[in-house]
Amino acid sequence: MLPRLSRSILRRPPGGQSCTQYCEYETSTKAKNIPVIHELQSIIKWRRPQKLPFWDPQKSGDLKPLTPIDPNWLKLEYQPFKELIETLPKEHQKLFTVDFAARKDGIRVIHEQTYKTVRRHKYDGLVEQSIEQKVAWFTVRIRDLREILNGPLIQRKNGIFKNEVKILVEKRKKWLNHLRHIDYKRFEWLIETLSILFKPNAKFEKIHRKESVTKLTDMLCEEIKSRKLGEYKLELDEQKIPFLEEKLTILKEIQADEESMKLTSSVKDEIIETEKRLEKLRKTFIEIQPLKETILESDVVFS
Amino acid sequence: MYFPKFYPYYAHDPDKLCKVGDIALIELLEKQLTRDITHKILQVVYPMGDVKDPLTGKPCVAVEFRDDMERRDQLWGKNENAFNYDEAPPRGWQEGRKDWSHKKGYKRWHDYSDRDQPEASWP
Repeated sequence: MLPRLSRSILRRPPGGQSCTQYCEYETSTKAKNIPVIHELQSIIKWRRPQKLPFWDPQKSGDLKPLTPIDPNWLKLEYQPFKELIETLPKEHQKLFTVDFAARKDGIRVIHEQTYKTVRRHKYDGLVEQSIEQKVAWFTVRIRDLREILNGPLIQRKNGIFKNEVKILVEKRKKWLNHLRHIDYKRFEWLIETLSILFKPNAKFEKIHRKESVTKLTDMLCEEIKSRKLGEYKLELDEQKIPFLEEKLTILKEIQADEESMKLTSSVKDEIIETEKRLEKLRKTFIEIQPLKETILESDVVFS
Repeated sequence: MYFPKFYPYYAHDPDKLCKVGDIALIELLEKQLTRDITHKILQVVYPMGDVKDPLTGKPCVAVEFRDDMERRDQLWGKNENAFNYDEAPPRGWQEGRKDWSHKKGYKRWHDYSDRDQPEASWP
C-alpha cells in the first residue's frame, strides 16, 4: 500500500514551487499518486452558467417591464366621477390622484388597464374568471414584485416576496400550458399581447463539471471529424475529374469505331451519364465556399 | 378523447406533417422500417388546440363549444379588444419568436459567448 498524500500539503505548497512539482518531489520514488493534468483542460474552457433569481426577466420570461405610474391618474374609486372632479380647482383635484395615494393604488389602475386589453367581457371575474385575465393578473404582479426586489436593500431582503414570485411564475406557466393544450391560437395571441416568452419544461438535473466537459469534448471531436472528412471528400472528388475525362475519350473512341463498322452504338447511354456527372462535379468545385468557422472555435484556445 | 386504453406507436413522417400533441391517422407499413417504426402517417385529423367535435362538426374548446362561449360573452357585453377567431393567423406564427415549445427543453450547462439558447431554462 502506498501512503496517501495529505491534503494540506497539496493546498499549501512551499514558496515558489507549483503544486505538481511539490508532489513529484514528495513522491519521487512512488510516482503513482501524482495528479495528472490532461491536455484537454488547457484546450477546453468550461464556464458555469450564472444562477439567476426568480424575478429576473430572463428566467421568468417577461419581455417588458411594468408600465410606469403616471401621477395624474385618478384613483380607481374616483374614476366614475371624473367629470365632477374636473370642475373642482386644481389643488383640490390632486387629492383624488394617484400621486397623493399609496403605491398600491397606482398598481391597481395598471391591473385594470391590462384587463381591458385581454378580458372577454365587462364582467369577467365576477362569476368565473377567464384564463386570460388570470394570466394578466399574474404578469402585473410579477413585474410589480420585480421592481420592488430590485429596489433598496430593505426591500431586497424580503423573503415573503421572493417566495411569492417563484410561486406566481410557476402558476402562470401552468395556466399558459393548459391554455396551449385547449386553444392554441388564443395562447399565441395572449403571449403576444402581454409579451411573455414561453419555454418548454426542462428535466431537473444537477450540473457537473465533468459531464459538461465531456459533452464539449464530444462536440469538438465531432466537428473535427466532420471537417476532416469534408476535406478528404473534396480531395477524392478532385481525382474523379481526370478519371472521368479519360473515360469519356475512350468511350468516344469506341463509339467512332462502332460507327465505322456500321454497328449500333452500345455506349451511348454511358456517355450521357458521364457527361452529367462531370458537369455536376465541375459545378460543385465552383460553388463550394470555404467552410464556416465553427461555433466552438471561439470558446476553444489551442495551445 | 374517450378511449380508455392507449398504446404508443412509432410512425414514419418524412414530410413532417405532425407536431407534438396532434391527433393523426396512421397506417400499417408493408415492410417494417426499423424495429420500432411500424406505421406511417396519412393525415393530421386535429391539430393540438384546434379540435372539432366529430358528431356535430363544431369547433370546441375542451368541453365547451366555441359558439356557446361567444354567445355567452355577447350576453355579458363582449370586449372589443378580446380575441377574435376570424382575424387570428394560423397556428405556429409565434414559433421561434415567443413560443419555444416546439423544441425540447433542457437546462443550461455551458455559458456560450456567441450563441443564444432561448429554449434552455436557467439554473
